[in-house]
Amino acid sequence: MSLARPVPVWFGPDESPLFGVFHAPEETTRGVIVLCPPLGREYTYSHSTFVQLATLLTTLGFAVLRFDYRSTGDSFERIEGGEAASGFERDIGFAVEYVRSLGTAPVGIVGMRLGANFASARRGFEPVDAAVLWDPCPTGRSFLREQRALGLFAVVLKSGDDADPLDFPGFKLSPEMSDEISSLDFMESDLGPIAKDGLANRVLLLTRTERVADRKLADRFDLPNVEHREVPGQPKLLNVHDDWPVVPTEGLATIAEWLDKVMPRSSPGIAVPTRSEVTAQVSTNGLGSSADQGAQTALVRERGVRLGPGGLFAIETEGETGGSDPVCVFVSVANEHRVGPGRLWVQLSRRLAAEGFRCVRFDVNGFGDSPPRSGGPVQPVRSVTAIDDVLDVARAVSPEDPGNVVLFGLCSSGYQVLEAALSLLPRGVCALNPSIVFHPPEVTSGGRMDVRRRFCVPEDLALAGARDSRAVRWFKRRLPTPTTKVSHRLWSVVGFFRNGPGARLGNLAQAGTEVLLICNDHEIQPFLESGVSAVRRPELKARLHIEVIHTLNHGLLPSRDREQVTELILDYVLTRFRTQRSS
Amino acid sequence: MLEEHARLVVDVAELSDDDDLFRLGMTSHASVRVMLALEDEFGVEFPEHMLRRGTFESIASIRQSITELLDTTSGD
Repeated sequence: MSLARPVPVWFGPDESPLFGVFHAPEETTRGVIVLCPPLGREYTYSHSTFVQLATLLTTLGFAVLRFDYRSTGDSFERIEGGEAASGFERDIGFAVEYVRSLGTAPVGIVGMRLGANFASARRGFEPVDAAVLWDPCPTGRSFLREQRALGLFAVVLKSGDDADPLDFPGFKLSPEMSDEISSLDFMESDLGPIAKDGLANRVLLLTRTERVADRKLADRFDLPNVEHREVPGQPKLLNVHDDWPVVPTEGLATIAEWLDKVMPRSSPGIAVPTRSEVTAQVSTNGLGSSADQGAQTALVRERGVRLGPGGLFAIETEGETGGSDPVCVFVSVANEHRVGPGRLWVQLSRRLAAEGFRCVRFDVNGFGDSPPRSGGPVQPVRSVTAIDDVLDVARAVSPEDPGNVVLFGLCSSGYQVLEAALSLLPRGVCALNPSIVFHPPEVTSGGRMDVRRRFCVPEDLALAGARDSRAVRWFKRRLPTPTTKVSHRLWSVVGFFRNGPGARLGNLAQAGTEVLLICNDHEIQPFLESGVSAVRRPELKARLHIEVIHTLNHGLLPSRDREQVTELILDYVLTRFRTQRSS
Repeated sequence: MLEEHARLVVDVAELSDDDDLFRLGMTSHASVRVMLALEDEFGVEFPEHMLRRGTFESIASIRQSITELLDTTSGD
């Protein structure tokens, strides 16, 4: 394993360190830019935008620090009630203090959405040379209401009397965090701290063109040291529904050009950091957004590594005294980076490391901090190269016996771990809502389906249409339930003999792999229709653990779903692998 | 307001009061934009129990919710 630039770093309070990635330019550094991300789903959507911005700025001679606030991304949890309880605003202070500890270079800040609001408070750091406030939220409360409404309108979150008002799609806040965000207000509060000698000598405010609130915001920011521009692209980056976020290239160019203009051309330089390992305490109960002081804790060690021939970026987690096999491998989901849905991979890695397991969470090629294969273009998420990534990582983390791993994935990576498992025959595989019904990209572009795809059920729109046709619905309504049950059973047996995905799960169990499949009642169907219920032998059924949770959200966006899945996974790993290991 | 924020696939002028706006292309993000624009326009705030699809699914349901909110506000 070798570590290449950009360098993963940890900084801030020892008891709850912040994670960052430090990008250094090829030659001398003219300044350091700290990138402050948004929160929640906006953080996830903007991750690749921040990676691209960092890369762009390094070409102009800037060093760049990207980082995650505590209790978000790869950073450790805040410890409420403890000395490290200070908030998001203070985390930016830790980041600025950290880059200033590396040398005397000028410092700039770019904050997007709530990141801009947090930065403006300038908590815990001296004024910087330049700051970009990129699409800030008019108020913190408006952000929380929008996120909550999005979850409720999309029927991702539960409404009603027992609804949790601190649960948002893909993130859950502690009451302290919610209060902190709710107190942010650019519309009414005094903007004095942003004026000259407050936040920065020069400030660039970037707003959207289409929002009324943004026009009011721009009026409020009519200050001598503030330039204002409107930038397109934010809706396609952040207001995504079924589409994927699009990197706002015009916004990136505007920021790079402005920083190039206002930041000094030369500086005494900085020392490029090398710290790529950290030890910190984690809570061993619950998956809260912060750790309670006095909760049961354990020490875990994390380090950034590059794995396989492609140099895939990963974070390895193990207990204070090391970790042993099987290695738990968590695969990044769809186009997102390695943290998993609502940070589930981060939290599971730490929980399992505290139990003595070695864990690795990684970015598939072309996403997060992993480069595309062979320097080529980013492949589609469902490209077979992501299956190869899983195999490469297994070989890298367990070179003596690549099968001595337990693979974890959700959605597209749920599919990838199943495909990789058929080649590796690992100790275990856990697929959450695996997407196995789709058009493979090689088929879409006119080719034949790759032979490595054995779980994929090519989506046949014509058949899907027929299944939902008026005639079929008419028969379904009139046929008595026992008849449909018999028919379903018949199809299942046919699927078994055709070696469909259900039967493939049986193959894995037969080879000795402990399989855990967790699905909602929709996503279990392709397995039910293709032979999984025909797996009858008791020793196989014991290794084939299927959990159907009726209302499970596909992306595990509600915290309740993540908690349910966590319990199942911990039970699966601890009962099936810890016992085997100690015996 | 719907024309500006709802991003429907049909001409807003042709909508009937009961047409399902979500079926006509309004996404969750668009419905949040409609909600914020309504709040701006009428000086109201939709409480948590009204933050559901049903509130914004048609012109009729939006009208009813706004009326309810304005009545509550004027009664305070």
